[in-house]
Amino acid sequence: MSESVEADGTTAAGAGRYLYCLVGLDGAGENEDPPRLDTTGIEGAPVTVVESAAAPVGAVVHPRREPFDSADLTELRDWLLAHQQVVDAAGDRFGTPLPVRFDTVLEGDDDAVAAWLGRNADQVADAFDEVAGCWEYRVTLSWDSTAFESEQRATDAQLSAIDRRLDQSGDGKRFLLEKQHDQRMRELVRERRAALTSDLVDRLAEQSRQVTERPVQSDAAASLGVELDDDAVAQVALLAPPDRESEIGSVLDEVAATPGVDVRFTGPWPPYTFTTQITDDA
Amino acid sequence: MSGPKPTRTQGDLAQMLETLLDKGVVINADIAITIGDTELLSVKLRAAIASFETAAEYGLEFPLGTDLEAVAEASDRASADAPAGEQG
Repeated sequence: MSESVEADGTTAAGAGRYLYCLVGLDGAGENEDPPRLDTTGIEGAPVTVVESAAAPVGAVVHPRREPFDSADLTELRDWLLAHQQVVDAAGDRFGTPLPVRFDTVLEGDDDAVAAWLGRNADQVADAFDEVAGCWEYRVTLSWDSTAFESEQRATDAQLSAIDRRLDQSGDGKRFLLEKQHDQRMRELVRERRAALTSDLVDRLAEQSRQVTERPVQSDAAASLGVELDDDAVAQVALLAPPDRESEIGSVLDEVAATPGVDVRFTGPWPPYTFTTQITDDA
Repeated sequence: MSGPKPTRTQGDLAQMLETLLDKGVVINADIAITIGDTELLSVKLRAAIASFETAAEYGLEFPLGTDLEAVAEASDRASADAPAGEQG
């Protein structure tokens, strides 16, 4: 690893290929030999499609010997954007791609990549089957609990009991009772949030091939103490065919009809959340 | 009844980019080159995205030096090639 080699992966000392995604070559674009992708990669690198001789799949790559690393955050961000653009272009051209995690570099030249694809043809085919014809969509559910809390103050028996005692208490006891009140309210809000989330997941599951919940608060935001959306209750990733977008939108309209609830619906994205590992000699 | 279509705004893209770091196909192969401190890189990248994401969320200017053309291109893709089923 520490030997001195050119980062562009073209030297004899050690070729390498940065891997963006895998694509299926049995549909659009197969009448082109070799298949081409009219886009540039990270730092303007030339992007090519390496075909497997063993199966109708290809790997979208550019020459690169080492993973990308930099202390310059802007540079890192631009790399991610460039990576995403290549995967998007590949998706437009060849249908749903299998997006590879950022900063994956394979050792060797195009032949080595093709051989790797061939060795793992079954796993790659299975992974394509999982996502075939589908894209990833994201739904963020937000909920403003203000109205709910007012309603609970009026209707929840436990809260009413605490409030009655509050009215009759002196300062010393008030502090404890106020804490109890807050605790009970938090519990009610938590239960309601869980119910809203499971309802959303159930409804989306009916429209999707796969659904999975994602953490609402990203580690990135959390580590910087940034609270992006105080009202965010759940984020869900779903795998669905594009012709279901309208139905999913309708379901989300129904969900958003609940007082205080707001939904954000984004996509289509490459199915990052619904991919797996490809392991040699598995 | 036709519900709202999904969006791909700059803010949407910013939130999604984080996925590139911890999702996507993982290659376990002898020929996969790994670096010793991927963890560290990941932490740095997350910080990079957080500032990007915050800017996008609040409609602020992107941080100095951001390739705005790339951002716009990436986030406008959906409107250019809307998937089948788009209502007129």
